[in-house]
Amino acid sequence: MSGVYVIGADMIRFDRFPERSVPALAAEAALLALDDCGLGIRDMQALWCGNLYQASAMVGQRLLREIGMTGIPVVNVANACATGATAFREAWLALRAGACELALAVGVEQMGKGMLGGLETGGFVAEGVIGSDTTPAMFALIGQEHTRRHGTTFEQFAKVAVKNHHHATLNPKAMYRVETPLAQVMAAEMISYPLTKLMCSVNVDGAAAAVLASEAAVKRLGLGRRAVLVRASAMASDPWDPRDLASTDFSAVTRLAARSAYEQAGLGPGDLDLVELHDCFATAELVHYENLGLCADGEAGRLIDSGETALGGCLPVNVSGGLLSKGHPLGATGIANICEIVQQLRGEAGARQVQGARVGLAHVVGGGQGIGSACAIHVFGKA
Amino acid sequence: MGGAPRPAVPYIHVAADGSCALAGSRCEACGAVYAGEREVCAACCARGRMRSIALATQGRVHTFTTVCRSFPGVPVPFVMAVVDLDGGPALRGTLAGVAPQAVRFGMRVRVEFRDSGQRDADGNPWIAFCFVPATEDGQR
Repeated sequence: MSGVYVIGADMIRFDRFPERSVPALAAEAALLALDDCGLGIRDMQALWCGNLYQASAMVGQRLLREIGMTGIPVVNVANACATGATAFREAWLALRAGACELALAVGVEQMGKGMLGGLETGGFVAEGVIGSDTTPAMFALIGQEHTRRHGTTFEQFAKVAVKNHHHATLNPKAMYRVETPLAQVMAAEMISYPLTKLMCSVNVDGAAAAVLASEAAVKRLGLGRRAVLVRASAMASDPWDPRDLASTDFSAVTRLAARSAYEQAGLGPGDLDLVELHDCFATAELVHYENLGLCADGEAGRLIDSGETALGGCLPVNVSGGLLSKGHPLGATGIANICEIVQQLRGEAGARQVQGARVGLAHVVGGGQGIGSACAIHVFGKA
Repeated sequence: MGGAPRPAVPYIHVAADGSCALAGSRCEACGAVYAGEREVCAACCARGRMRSIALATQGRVHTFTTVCRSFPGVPVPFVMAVVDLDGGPALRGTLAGVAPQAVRFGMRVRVEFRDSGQRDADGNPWIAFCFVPATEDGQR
């Protein structure tokens, strides 16, 4: 079977744009990605548009109203924080199936400040009375479970934030570009132990887009030089686990998707040169080191201590700054992670370039307390 | 308290005399245990094999966190715990009656039913539950 390639990928600078509309943000990213490969919206045969907060409002069609109403099929995608990667994967599936040769995948989100979700209205308010439904509390429980099993420390979790904030200083498209020394991270406002405010991702506005092409289209258009091969696209939903219904789990779902992704790509974690993983909270990054097989179970604390997952180490993780510092516009995140991998494999990542990067993995999870989880993993290789 | 007590979550069963229990179900095919009633087993997918059971009101803390910031207006801090009830399942709830720094993994707790203080539109109290520390034999 012939391969599917990313020929264009780009994102807008993540920031807060209260004066702009969701379709306008999406349009800017779409045009950037099209410009990246020298194509236009007229060349696109289908669009997958990921957005969460306006999932019922045809963001994809509104995007085309901004950049060209060519009549192509549009699918609007929502899958919690895995929304963008799900849109990308659906485009990939269509190309694999031969349904089209050139497709556009866009992810976009406009968010308010502060914690996701809010109190129930009109009935019993469970928050505080029966635990907490906040997202940081959910990922605090996950970190604490890791501590219970492996003795992982508050300081080790905090080191993730130090590393990813440092990486973001090298990324002009990141929301926050400031160093946060360990003492500052640990002394920041405690949100849910062991997560301080600097160990929680940033709610921002953002958009990212990718142009996918079949092998035949890449050849016809002569775009092989900068094309990046999609070596695997895998997804999973949370499998049965007795505790998942009590507090949503993101580990089993990641392990399921990772197994499938490595099998498809015909490689293992030892073959990766860089990883963009879903560091929505600092605790998440450490559990996903193990879920993705970057280290053995129980070794994540030692891996962050070793410095090997920082830029310059043997397996840099979240060199973009990650969700923690680049920002986490929910529907855009999955495609922004892919943009980073594509840029790195092309050798175009500037100051944060991972030298000699040939294989990269992008991972996102989505979900929430009481609603389940999704995981999408893509593996990319130099064409 | 006035008015008919209403369960704050579907798996609290309030009897006519006001006494409370945790309602659950067990799959006769695979043994999976759930809070509340259900038709199909999410673990083994068996249909028509769920049986209603009463859940234990004692268990152990599996994981926990101190929530220091919640949604606006919610009093903090409080401890949230995931508790493995004896015989299953795991439940998420607030752990009361213990200082956050005194909570330990594996510590013994029991379920206590409480008037949440909240009322529905007709003035009926919402009955909730929380976990409280217990001794090894389950007594306070």
